Amino acid sequence: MNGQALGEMSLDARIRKMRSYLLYGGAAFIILGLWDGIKTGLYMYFHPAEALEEFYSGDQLQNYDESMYYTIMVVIILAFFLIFFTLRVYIGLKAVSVARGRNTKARVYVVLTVLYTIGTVYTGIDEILHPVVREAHEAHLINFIIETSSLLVMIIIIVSSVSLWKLDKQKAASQAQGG
Amino acid sequence: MTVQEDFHYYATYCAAYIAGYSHEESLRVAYAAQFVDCCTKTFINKVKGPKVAATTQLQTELADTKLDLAGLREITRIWASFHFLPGDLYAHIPRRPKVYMDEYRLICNPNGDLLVDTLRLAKGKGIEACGLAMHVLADTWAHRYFAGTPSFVINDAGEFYEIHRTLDGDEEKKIRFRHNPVAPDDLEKGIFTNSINNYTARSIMNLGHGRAGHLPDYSFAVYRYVPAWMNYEAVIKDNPVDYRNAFCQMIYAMKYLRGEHEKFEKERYDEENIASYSDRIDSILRKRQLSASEDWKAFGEELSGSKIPDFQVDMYVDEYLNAGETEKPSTFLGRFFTAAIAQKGMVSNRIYRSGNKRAGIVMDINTLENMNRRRLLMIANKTGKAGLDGKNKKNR
Repeated sequence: MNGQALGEMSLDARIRKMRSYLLYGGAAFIILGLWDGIKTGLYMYFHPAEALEEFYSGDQLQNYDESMYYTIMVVIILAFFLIFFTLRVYIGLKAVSVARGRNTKARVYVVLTVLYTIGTVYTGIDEILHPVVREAHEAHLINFIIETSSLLVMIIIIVSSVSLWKLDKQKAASQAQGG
Repeated sequence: MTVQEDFHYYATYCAAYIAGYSHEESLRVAYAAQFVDCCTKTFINKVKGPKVAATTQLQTELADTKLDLAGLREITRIWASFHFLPGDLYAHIPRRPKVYMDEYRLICNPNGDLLVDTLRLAKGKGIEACGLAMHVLADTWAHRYFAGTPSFVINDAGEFYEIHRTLDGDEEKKIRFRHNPVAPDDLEKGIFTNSINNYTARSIMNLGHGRAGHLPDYSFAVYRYVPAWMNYEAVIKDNPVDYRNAFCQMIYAMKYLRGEHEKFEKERYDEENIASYSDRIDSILRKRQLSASEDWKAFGEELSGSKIPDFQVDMYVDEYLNAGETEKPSTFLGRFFTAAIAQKGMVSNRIYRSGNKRAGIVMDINTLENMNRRRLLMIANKTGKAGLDGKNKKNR
């Protein structure tokens, strides 16, 4: 009675739906990237000894100047964080841009998302198979939940991007036929 | 957030006159119709009337209302009863939770069962009830597809495009919104004011057609947009057609209220009586302007041959204030308040009986015996409460 589309969605509606998923997926991907930095920063701050042990192998830590090694660790981790966060921002902004109907030919961000996903899955499996025993078990659990969410967001970006390409092609074809 | 004075006052006057009311009666009908947009708690406090009879809320009153359960119910009772009459309280969509369906079922649409109930309630209750019912009827067309309750999942909307119908075909132009409530809408540039985007489920920003700004209130506007409840599909709102239907249905409804028709049937429009004015009415409806008051006024004055005074919100205040306690219900405002309380009670009760507690647990005072009903109204007049919220157990 209210015009609700109960049956098959129209092409335009499906395009809008995929754009909506891509828009929120892109934004979420950037925000979840901040989590990486926050989690690592908090871990290094509250558990410096554990962090140092994890970062360096046990042998390297004998007869060392702790503060110097700590500083080097922080700088390296910060550098990696900046690289990966920049990557996330690039992917996220491209996804948002495509969702808004601009830059519809962009493809690189999807390839990068696929690679990021593979990396995340590999890291996750590695952590499951070779768990590192840490003091902060609850932090580990929270991290797992958020990483899983991040993985889901990556899948959403990939699936909705591919769907959008197909739907846009369909629309162009139907417009060409109609025209 | 209302259909404007041009339609509720002047156009209703024209419809009333065409339906057979005299000039003076048509003025009273039109006044009552427009007054639904003015009868706030602030106004009622000024005249020391029953606060439960409020038919609208000022922005400041809304800002003061808490968005807890009681506040939400109060907002829903007012807006759903007078400005966003639900079209189908028993609508069904598969695989949706109850909390969503409670909001979905409040979507306003014309020709619903509640409209029939509204008119039946107004029959035999005087000019004021007639005017109030006409406001409700007109709003079912203007405000269709929005709900009279704060709801992000229903009332949010996006992708507005105005459709300009030309000889070469339809031309779509994207509508730009801004959040400046002071600046008038710019029709030339297609810039309109709407409420701020707020993702909170029950924010006031998501009440009624706030997200569409005044677009539903412009009779000339034809636009396409995507309502949140429509599953990504777009809907085309053709205001000239809807407003014409509203006008013709008002004439038919008023003839029913005058006793010329035995019953009120949905989807009936009195096109016959406007046949000779059809082009004139269409030209008023389609003229691109912020307010069509002057045009409707001119049309009305031509119809009746009499001057239509400008709407004055305080017109009947002195009559009410100067009346004794027992005479107040017989004054214009007194009868309006009675009609408003009856309408609010009826609609809120129907919503409750459909299994939806969004308007609260409300008894229908119209089913009470006359004696109890009069007692409740007298209590309402004194205390501002009528036990409509089911709390006044003493009067059950």
